[in-house]
Amino acid sequence: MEVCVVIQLLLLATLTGFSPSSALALSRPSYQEPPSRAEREARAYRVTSCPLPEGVSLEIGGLEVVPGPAGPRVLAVTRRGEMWGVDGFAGGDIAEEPTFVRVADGLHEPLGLLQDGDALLVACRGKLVRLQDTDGDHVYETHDSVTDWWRISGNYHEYNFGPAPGIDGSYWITTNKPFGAQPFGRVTWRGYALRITPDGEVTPMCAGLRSPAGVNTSPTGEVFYTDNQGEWCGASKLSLLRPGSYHGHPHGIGSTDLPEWPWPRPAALPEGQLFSDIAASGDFPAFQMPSVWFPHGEMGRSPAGFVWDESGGKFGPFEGQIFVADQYDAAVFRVDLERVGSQWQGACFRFREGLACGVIRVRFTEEGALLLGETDRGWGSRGSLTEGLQRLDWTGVMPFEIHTMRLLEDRPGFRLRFTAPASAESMAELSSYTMESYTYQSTQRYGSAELSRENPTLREAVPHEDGLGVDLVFDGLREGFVHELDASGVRSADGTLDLLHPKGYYTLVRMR
Amino acid sequence: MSRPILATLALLLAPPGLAEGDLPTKRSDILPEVDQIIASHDCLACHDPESSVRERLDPILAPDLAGVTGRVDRRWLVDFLANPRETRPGTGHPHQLAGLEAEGRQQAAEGLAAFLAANGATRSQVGEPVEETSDSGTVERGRKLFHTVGCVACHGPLEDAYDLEITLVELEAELLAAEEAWEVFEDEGEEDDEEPLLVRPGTLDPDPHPLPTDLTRKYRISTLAAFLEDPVSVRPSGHCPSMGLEADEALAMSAYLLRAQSQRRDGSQERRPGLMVNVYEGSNLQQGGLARLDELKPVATEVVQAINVEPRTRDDQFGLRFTGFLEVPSEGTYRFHLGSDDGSRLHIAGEMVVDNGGIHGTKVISGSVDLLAGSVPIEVTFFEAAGGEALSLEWEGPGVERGPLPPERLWHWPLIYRVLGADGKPLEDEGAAPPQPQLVERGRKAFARLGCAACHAGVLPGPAPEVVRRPPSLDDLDGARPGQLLCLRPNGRYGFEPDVAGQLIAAFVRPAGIAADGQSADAAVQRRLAGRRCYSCHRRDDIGGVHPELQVFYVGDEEAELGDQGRFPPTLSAVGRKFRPDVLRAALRGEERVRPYLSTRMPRMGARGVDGLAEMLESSDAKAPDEVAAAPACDMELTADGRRLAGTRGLGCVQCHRFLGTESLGVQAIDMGQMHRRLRYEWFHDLLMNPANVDLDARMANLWVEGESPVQGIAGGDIETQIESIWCWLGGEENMAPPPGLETGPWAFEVDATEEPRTVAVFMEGVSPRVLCVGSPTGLHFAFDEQNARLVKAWRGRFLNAEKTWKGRAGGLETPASEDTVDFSPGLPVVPFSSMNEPWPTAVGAEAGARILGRTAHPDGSMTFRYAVGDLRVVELVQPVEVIVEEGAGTAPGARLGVERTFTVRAPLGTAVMARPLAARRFESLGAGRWSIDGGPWPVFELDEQSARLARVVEASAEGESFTAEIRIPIHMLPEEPGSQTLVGTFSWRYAW
Repeated sequence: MEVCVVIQLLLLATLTGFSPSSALALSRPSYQEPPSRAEREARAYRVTSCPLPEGVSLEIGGLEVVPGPAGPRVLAVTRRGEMWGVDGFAGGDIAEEPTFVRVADGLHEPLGLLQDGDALLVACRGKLVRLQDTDGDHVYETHDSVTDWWRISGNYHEYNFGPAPGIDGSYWITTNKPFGAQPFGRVTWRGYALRITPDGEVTPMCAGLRSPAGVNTSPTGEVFYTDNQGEWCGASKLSLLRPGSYHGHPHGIGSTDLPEWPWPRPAALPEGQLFSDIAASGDFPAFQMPSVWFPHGEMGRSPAGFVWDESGGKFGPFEGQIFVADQYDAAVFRVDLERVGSQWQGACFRFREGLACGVIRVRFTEEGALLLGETDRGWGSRGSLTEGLQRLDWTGVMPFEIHTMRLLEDRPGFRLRFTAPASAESMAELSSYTMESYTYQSTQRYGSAELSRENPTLREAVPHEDGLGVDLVFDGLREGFVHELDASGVRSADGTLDLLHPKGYYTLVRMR
Repeated sequence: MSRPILATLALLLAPPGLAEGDLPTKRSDILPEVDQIIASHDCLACHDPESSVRERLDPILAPDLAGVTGRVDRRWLVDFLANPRETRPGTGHPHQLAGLEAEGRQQAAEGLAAFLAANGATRSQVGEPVEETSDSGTVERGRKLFHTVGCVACHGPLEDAYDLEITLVELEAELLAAEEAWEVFEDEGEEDDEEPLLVRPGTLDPDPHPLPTDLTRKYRISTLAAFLEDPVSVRPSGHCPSMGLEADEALAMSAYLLRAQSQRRDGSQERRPGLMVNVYEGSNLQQGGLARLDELKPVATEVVQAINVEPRTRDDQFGLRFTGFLEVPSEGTYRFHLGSDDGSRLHIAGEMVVDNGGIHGTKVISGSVDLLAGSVPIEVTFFEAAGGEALSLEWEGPGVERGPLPPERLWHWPLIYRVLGADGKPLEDEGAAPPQPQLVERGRKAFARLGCAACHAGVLPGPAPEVVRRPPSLDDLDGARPGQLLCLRPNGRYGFEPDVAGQLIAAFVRPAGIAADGQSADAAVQRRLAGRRCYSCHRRDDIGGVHPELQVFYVGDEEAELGDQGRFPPTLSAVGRKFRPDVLRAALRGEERVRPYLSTRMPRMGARGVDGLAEMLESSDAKAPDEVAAAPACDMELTADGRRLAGTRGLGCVQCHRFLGTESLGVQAIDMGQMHRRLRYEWFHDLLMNPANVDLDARMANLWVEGESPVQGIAGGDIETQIESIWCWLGGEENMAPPPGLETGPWAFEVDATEEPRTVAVFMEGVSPRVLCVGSPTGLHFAFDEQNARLVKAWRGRFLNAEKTWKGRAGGLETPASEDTVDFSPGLPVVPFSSMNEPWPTAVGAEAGARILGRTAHPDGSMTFRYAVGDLRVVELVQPVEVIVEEGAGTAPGARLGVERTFTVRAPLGTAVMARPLAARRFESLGAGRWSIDGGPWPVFELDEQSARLARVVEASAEGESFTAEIRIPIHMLPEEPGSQTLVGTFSWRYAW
C-alpha cells in the first residue's frame, strides 16, 4: 500500500515537473495543478449542447430567437434549406431533449436569418426571401421574394450572407465569389455588399469582398462584415462596410462599371504591396482598411458570424464588445473596437474554444446566453461533430482577462484594462510584456505571411491606481500594422493567476 | 415454443446407425467407414461402373491424365508408378506393377510415363527451367491463405494458430534460439491444466485428410499453383475443390506448401536489405489493371531501397510488384498513404490495407492497420497504362512521423525452388529427351492391359493387346468366397491393413449392404454432406459445424460485427427450401458469394459434385404444400409500405442489412438487394415470422413483440401483410428505393417525401440554378424554375436524391430521382397575348418580364406560386391529382397520377391574356375538354369547363421543336369588382401521362 502511494507521488511529481526529491515534501498542503486554460474558460463560460433528434440535420446557416408556442423558440435555418424551430433550448431552463419542428423548407442554402416584425428575412442563393406564418400555426408556409435582382451561375461558392438590418429599415447582404465551374454562365455582382429596401430596391454598396461569411450591424447602426483569408485577402478580417468602399478582391470589380454602381469606380490594388503602404499612399481612397485583422492560426482561420454584446452584463463583463464565430477553430473570439477619426479599429482576443464543431453563427437570447450555430461541411473544423447547436452561458465566475486594449490618448502606446485587479508589481514590470508588429500584403497568392516584423520598444508601464489596468508606452508603433501584445507576466492581484488569454492583437490603422 | 419442435425434428433426423436421440460425433457415424473406403478407392469404377450404388457412394474419381506430364515431375511419376505406396504413403492408387520384379517394374513405369507424355500431354516441360523463384513475403501470404480460406476444414492446419502470428523467419529464429538455450518445446505439462474444449453435440471430429507428403517431389511452384487454381479440372469429382484462388494467390499458396524445396539464394541466413521488385510489361493494361500483373511474367527482378517508379523499364504499359518485409518498431496502429498514377494496392501481412486501384492521376489513399512489433510481409502492386506515372508510400504510427518507409526497415529474403528427389535433395534439370517410340508403345500396352482407363479419363490407350479380364460385378461378387477377392489379398494391389481388408471382404461378399442406407432423402443428404466434408464448416439440423479445435482459423471480418455469423459459414438447415432452384445450385457450386465478411470461401466442387445434392436437399427440405406461404401479389402500396418498414422508423432492417452496397447503420449483414433474387418467399416468410424457425443460430432477433408488430402505423400493423410488403419492396432488387434512415453512401441524401411534403431548392441539370423541387406523399412530384418563373417537370416514384446539393461543398446539378418524368411544354403557360395564329412567344424569365414573387406551401403537398409576367400577376396552384379515364371512345379505362394547375391571373384593364397549356405532335379529342396526346391512351389532358369551350387546337411549328400542334385558351377576363381597373380570369387543367 505504501509503495503504491510513493509511486503515485512520483508520478504526480513527474507530471507536474517536480523533481522526485521535492515530491517527498508533499506532506505539506498538497500542491494543486493550476487549472488549464480550457478549465478556466469552462469555469467562466459553460457550454451546453442541444441533442439532435434522429433524422434531423442541423447544419446551421442562421439563427434567431422568436416567441414560440412554449417559451422562446430558436429558429435555425440550415444549409439543407430547412428552418427548424427548437423549443426548450433558448430559455432559462434547458430541456433535456429540446423538441424540433420543421417550420419551413425549400430555402436555397440560406446563410443568414433576420427577424423583422412578424416576418423572417433569409438570404438564399437566388433571392432575398421574406417568410411569413399567415395562419398562426408557427409554420412559415408563405415565402415572398423581396428581390432576385442578382443572378447565380450554379457555382457552389456563390453563397449569400445575411441580411443585417440597415438603420433605415433596409437589409444588407454580402455576396460570395465563385470558385470553379459556373455551369449556367458567369454572373455579375459577386463579392459585393448589397443594400435592399423592404420593397426590393437594390443598391450595391461595397465591392471587392472575398468570402464574406458574416455581416451584422453595430449598435450605432454601421454595418460590418468578416472576410476569410485567401487570394487578395492577406489575413481574415472584420471590416466596416463603408458605402462605396472597396475591400481588395478584384473578382467582381467589373460590375462597378455597370450603371447600378452609384459610387466612384474603385482602383484595383497592386500585386505584392503591403497594406500599410497602400493605406499610406492615398492612391486608393475607396480601399477600406480592416478594423481588425485576425492573425492566421492564432486567431482561427475562418471568421464568420458576429454579434455585439448588448446583454447588459448578463453575459459577463464584455458589454458592447463583439463576439466572433470561427468556422474552423470551433471557437468564439472577442473583439473590442474604438473609433479613431473615421476609422473603427481595435483588438481581438481568444475567448472560448473547445466547442463541438466549427461555429458560423452567434446570436444572443433574451437572458444573455450566446447561441452558437455550427457546421463544417465541405471545409472541416476542429471539434468532434460536424453540425449542431450549442449555447454559452456566463457562470458568474469572473475570468481574468484583458478587458480592452486601446490607444493611449496622449502618447504612443496602449491602455490595457483588466476584468479583475492585477498585481501592481507585475503590471509595472516591463518584462511582463512583449510586443511584435507586422502587416500583410495584397497578393493574388493564397493568404499573406506576416511581413515587415518589428518589436516596438516598451518604455514605460504605469499601473492604474484602481489596479484594473496599465498604460504601456511604446516606441515604434506603426500605422497599418497588427500589434501583437503578449502580457503573460501580468498576474492577478493575489499573484495566483496569469491572464486567461494573455495576448491581444490590435490592428492599428490610425494613430490618435 | 419452437425449441421442442426442433428437438423432435432432430430425433426424426437422427442418422441411421445411431440410437434415437444420439447425435453423431464423427463422419463414420453417418457414412460407414467401409463405404468411405469403397468411395475413396472408387472400387466400383471397375466392379460396377454404372450402378446406382456407385452414385450413392459419390466416389472420389481418379485424376484426369490429360497433360499429366506437364503437371507433375516425370521422375516422381516413374517412382510413383513403380511403387505407389512407398512414394506417396496413404495413396489409394493400386500397385498395378506389384507382380513384377524390381527391374521390370522400373521399365514398365518408364514406359507408362513415356506413353503418358506422348499421349494427351497438353503442356510440356521441355525447355522450361527447373529452378523457380519466390520470396519469403509471398510464402507468408500463402501461409495465411492456406489457413484462412478453408483448406484447414479438410486438411487440418499445418501450423499452430499461435505460430501464425509471427513470420516463418522469426519462428525459425525463435526455434534456433530456444535450441541454443536448451529449451525444447516439449510437453510442459500444460495440457493437464487446459480446459477441455466444449464441443457442441453433433459437431463431427475434425478427422483431417492429411496433405500428401510428396508434394515437393511431384510439383514445382507453377505446376502446383495451376492445380490449386482449378483442381476440379484434374480431379473431376471435386472432392478437392477449387477455393477460388486468384492466380497470384495460388502461386503464394504453392510457394508456402512447397517451402521445403526452397533455399536462400546463397544458403546464408542473412536478411537482405530492401525489397524485391518484379517489373512487368504488358499491353492494354487499362483493361484489368492490377489483376493483369498476375498473368504476366516479370521482365526484370531487382532489389530496391524505396518504393517508386524507378525500376520501370519503360514509361507506359508496365507494372511493378514490390515484396518483402517491413520491420515494425513497436506495437500500435499505423497509417499508410499510398499515392500513385495509375493504380496501386498495398497488402500488409496478406491484408489489403490500401486500395488505390483504377486509372487515375496522382491520388493518395490512406489506410490503417494494427501491427505488432517485428517484421510483417509487405507487398505493393502498381500499374501504369499511359501518361504520367508516379508511386509513393508513406507511413506514420507510434513514434513514426509521416514519411517514406525507411530503407533500413525494409528487407527481403529471395528464395529459389528446386524439385526434390527421393533423398530429399534438389534435383538437377533433366534436359529434354524425345520419348522413344518403343518405350511409348510398351507403355501404351501396359496402360491398356492394366485397365488404367477404367478409372482415369484423359488418355485413350487404343486397342488392348490381349483380352483383359473384366473385373467381377457386384452381382458376381454376391456370395463369393473371400479368397476369390484378389484386390484384398495381403500385399496385393492395395495393401490394406487386415482389419480394413476384413471389412471390405464382408462388404463385397454381401454387396447389398454397400451404401445401403442412402435411400431416404434425408439420409442421402447426410451421406453426401459427410462425404464431401460439408459438415466441417456448416451445420445442418443439429449436425456439423466448425469444430472448436479449428475455430481459430475462421477469422472473418470483425468490422462486420456479426459475431459467429461473421466467422462461420452459414447453416444448411432448410436450404432446400430457402433458395430459388438456380440459386441453390449456384450456391452449392460456390458461385454465390454474398458474405464478404467470411474469410473462408465456399469451395467450388464443380457441377458433377453438387447438382445431385441440390435435388436431394430440395426433396429433403420440402414442406407440405399447405404449410408453404404463397408469395404475395404486389402493388405499389405494398411496395411502398415495405420500404418504410425496412427503414429506421419501421422494423429497422437497415440497422443491420446492407443496402445495394451501402453499409448498414450497424452490423454489416447480407445486402437487401440480394434477397429477392436468392430466396423463396416461403422461407423468407418463415424467417420473418421467427428467425428461429429456420435457423436456431440466427443473430437476427424476432421482430414481433408478443405476437404483435411494433409498427402499428403501416399495413394496419398486420404481421402477414407487413412481411408481404417487405417482400414486394425487395422485389425491386437493384432498383429498390432506399429505405428511410440510411445515413451513408449515395442514399444518405435521399429526400423522403413519403411521410410529409418536402421542398428542396437545387441547381437542376438542363434547367437553371434556381429550381424548387416539391415532393409529396402522393408519389407525384414537380419542379418549378424560379429563375424563369415556370413549372418545368413532374415525375412519379422516388422524389429526390439531394447528394449533389447536400454532400460536401456540393454544387452539382440535380435531376429527379425517377425516370418516370415529364417535361412541360417550353415557354410560359400564360402571357399577355391575343393572337390565335402567331407563334407562341418563346421568352421566359427576365426576357419575358417574368419573375417569381413568392410561394405558399400547403400541407397536402400542393404549392401556390405567385409570379409576374409583364403586367400580369399570376397565381398558380400546382396539385398532385389522380386523372381517371372511364370507358369511352376507343380508350381503356384507368387512373394515373398527374398534375392539376389552377391559375388566377390579374391584368390591367385592356390586357388580352392567352394561355397555352400544351404543345404536342397530335391531339385527339375525347370530348368534354379532354384530349389524348400523340396517339396513345396516355397522356391525357383535360380542361376546366369554361376553358374547354374557349380552347382551340392550332397548328404550331415553332422552329427546332418537335411539336406541331398546341392548345390555346383565350382567357375570359372580367373586372375584379364592378368598376375595377383590374381584370381577373381563372382557369385550370390537368395532365397525366
